[in-house]
Amino acid sequence: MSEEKKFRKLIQNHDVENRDKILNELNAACLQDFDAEKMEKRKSSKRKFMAVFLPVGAVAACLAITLPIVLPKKNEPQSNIRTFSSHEYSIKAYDQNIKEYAQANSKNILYFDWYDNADNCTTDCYSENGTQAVLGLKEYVVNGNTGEAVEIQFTDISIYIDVLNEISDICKNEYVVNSVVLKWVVDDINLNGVFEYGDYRYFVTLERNTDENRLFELVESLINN
Amino acid sequence: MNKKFRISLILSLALASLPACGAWTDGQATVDRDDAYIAEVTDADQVRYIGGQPIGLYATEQINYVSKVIVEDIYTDGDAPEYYDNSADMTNSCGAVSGSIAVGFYDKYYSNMIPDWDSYYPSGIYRKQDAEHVGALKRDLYARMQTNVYGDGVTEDDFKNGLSSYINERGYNVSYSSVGSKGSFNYNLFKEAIRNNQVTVLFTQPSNVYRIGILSNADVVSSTYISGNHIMVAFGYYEVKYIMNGGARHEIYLRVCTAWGEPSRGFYKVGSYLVDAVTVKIN
Repeated sequence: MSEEKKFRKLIQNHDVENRDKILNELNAACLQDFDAEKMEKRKSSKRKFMAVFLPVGAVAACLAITLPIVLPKKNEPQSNIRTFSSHEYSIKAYDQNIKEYAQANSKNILYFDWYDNADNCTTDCYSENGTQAVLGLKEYVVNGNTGEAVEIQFTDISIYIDVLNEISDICKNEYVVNSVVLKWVVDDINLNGVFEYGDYRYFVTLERNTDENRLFELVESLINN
Repeated sequence: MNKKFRISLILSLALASLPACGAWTDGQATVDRDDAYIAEVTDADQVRYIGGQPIGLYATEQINYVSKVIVEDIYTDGDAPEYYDNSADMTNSCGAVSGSIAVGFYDKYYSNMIPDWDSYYPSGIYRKQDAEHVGALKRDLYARMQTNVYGDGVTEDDFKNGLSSYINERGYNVSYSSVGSKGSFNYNLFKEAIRNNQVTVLFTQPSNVYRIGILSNADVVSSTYISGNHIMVAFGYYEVKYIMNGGARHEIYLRVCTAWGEPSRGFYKVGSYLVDAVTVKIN
């Protein structure tokens, strides 16, 4: 028999006069204890909930905010943009000039056709490490008639090479040549220009000349050829 | 809120924020790493130069000014040749390329420094490299400097010994005069070298090379990070002061041929990462 039951039996048997009063007080006290126990259990549950589920909720909220930024979107078309930094490519001598490369690959690529009278012509490629894929060409040519020195570089429009991006970053001026937007800047003693035409992005450097009108003429001649 | 709960919440938030940190920092480099992550150089002779790869930082600063004063802008006659490595097989070649730049520079003043080839146009402007003559020069210096023989790249002594060997064989003498390093760089000695039409070889730990775009009432400065210990050739000094709304700014740069294909030239600021700088003198 439990202690409580013994106690109740004792009250019932020994204190008839105050029995009901005592029993009522006893019952009230028991109910209080029960409520306190329930409250304690509720508090404990609440603490457990706070300790476990609230942090989990915070994690979920943070992930809900950051994952869409980090992960590619499933329902949108995958971008074919490729970005290369210097440990992913090398600059190597190339055995064709831009004209020969364009013809050999049946590509419509712009170039300065000064080859027959060039005093100097050097062509390099941005070569992807491992695959040796040609990411772009870089050609320096000196016009043997005028002594004018230019460098022209190009990449596919979907390819970004970090050191070429830096040229784009400083080309803050704009000029429109035959509906083509040319971004340009005086870069120390040279002129740099960047534009997109057809499937390619071009970087033109006019060496030792800061007259932007000459750059505009050269770009116009490229586009019109 | 009890202690366990606080710790639990903090850890959870930290873990959840990791993807955000990755997204934010990927491709976002600091503009200026001049004094970050530089190992203390206790023995300059032991530092090996591997030819740090240029890394585009996508970090461009536009300096808007009320007025700009170019305090001084001096450089050697015709600048210096902008050679770079475009071989399929040479690695860690900044010593050989920078040595070639010095040789190409002096070819204008000392006959046949590069055999059977003139490194310059009649106007005095330097030619770009060619595959035959400058290609052979780079390979020759690469071997003479014992590149990658006793470790990656070359030491400063390897560079000097290899370059001296080549120049002596051409029938000339060469000496190297230090213009200082780190905090003791002597700008006056450096400027004197330029006025004497002499180039200075820089031995640098990771740092930056800058492009400066010139706009109307603004300069746009972009940074290319030199990712490893590197050797370049300085041929000019550029000092500029900007007066801006609410302030002023003073910059001193060395003009350099970077020994890279792109950018092949730029501006360099002296800092604690500069291990040594020596003017090459031929006689």
